[in-house]
Amino acid sequence: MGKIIVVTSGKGGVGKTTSSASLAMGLARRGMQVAVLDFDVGLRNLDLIMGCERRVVYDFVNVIQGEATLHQALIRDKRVENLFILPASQTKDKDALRMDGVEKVLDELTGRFDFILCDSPAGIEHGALMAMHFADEAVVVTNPEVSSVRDSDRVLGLLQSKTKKARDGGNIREHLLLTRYDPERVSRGEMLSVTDVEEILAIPLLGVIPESKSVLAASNSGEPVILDDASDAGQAYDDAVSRLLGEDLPHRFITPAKKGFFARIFGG
Amino acid sequence: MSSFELKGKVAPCTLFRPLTTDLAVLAGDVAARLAETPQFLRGLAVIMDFSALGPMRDQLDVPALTALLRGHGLTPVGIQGGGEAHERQAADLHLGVFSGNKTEAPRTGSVSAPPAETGAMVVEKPVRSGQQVYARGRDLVVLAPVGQGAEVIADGNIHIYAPLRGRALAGAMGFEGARIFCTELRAELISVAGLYRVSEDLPGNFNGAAVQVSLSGRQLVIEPL
Repeated sequence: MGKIIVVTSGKGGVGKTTSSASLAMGLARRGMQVAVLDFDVGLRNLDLIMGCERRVVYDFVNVIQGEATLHQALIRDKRVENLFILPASQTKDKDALRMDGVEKVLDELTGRFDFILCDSPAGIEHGALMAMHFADEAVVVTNPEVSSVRDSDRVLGLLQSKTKKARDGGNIREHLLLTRYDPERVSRGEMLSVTDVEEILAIPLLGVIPESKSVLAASNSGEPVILDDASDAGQAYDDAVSRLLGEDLPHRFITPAKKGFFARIFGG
Repeated sequence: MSSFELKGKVAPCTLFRPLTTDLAVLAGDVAARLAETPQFLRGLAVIMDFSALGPMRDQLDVPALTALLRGHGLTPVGIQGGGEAHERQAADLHLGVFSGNKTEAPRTGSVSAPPAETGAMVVEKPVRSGQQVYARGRDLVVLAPVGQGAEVIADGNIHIYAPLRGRALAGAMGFEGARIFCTELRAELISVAGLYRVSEDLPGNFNGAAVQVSLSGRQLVIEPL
């Protein structure tokens, strides 16, 4: 049985889709059978980040409404053959994500894949609740900033009360993924530190992704940033994938880079 | 899925508390009261409460009182504070029997301490933003952080052995002896028996400190632990 992981945050723009794409790609690169689902009906993005937007024929809502089979709607990644994308519908309404329909699709996917990643829309409305409802694990994407942290806290509350697992008396395994982290600004006291956020949210840290120019470049070119092995953000996502698979790695990129003599004198 | 839900809920309900057993007098007074505010009271659900009558209560007949109230447009839904005979009569009329304090005198003084029911309610997981925990009629012990935008409420005391970043309201039913104990105060709001202070009004030197909060007179007092 495959594992269902929701990538969620409450707040928008913190890096849910970027993280979903990179985690999915990272798991697939290690030989796992992976499907990544876009739950953001009406604001489809995952296909762009994954670089498969020109191959979308059917979508999630088509499958739920019986207009296409799952096999027809899943798009195989061109780089890694065991990675599949299920795009969201851009034209439909979020209410089209009926719970029984979502459950049926996920049931079918868990029989075939090792990991099913659900890229949640922002907010705490129907779409977000559907994305988390059947999850076994949750990756809570948070920026080191007070409003993002509070929204994540709210989402953690929902994960513990509104999901199927919670209602059946179980526990969703929660992971904190801190994104857009800038150690320089943390050291100047302009940004919350890893410790601050960990203390407030009190869940295990899956990874810290440093703020990086390569993330935007990767998004625009449709290459998940984890494929950019040279970038620190790519490496940080790769570490996070290892931890998701149970490895114990030290966290990198959380202290300011040591500057050379000239950089210190003339300012980096 | 079930076709219905059963939910414990405290709904406001009016008590009709007779102070005499004389039905003729009651009828006259009820008519006079209803004449003052007929719209407000029409169809109002009331619980007939016999607790103020003391031993005289057995002279009052439930069917007769029910008929009197219905005749004036009120809707009796049950009784409380009656004797066994009253409860049998209520059952015959398909009225509910509420478990009020059976021999309670009419309240005059201040609100007393809530009864200690079954020890404290203990919460071991973080209370997240948007969540609310209420320890009804007892103390609340929280062993994990209370997040910003979360609310912990108790009719008794509140103990928090972690940072309090949300709201804590002790003595929610008016118990003025209630206290809040907290190992790291970063609260948005603290309140005892309805008296509150918001974060902005908390003395800065207590920020992050271990404190207890209590009432002294009508003043909220914060002291280091």
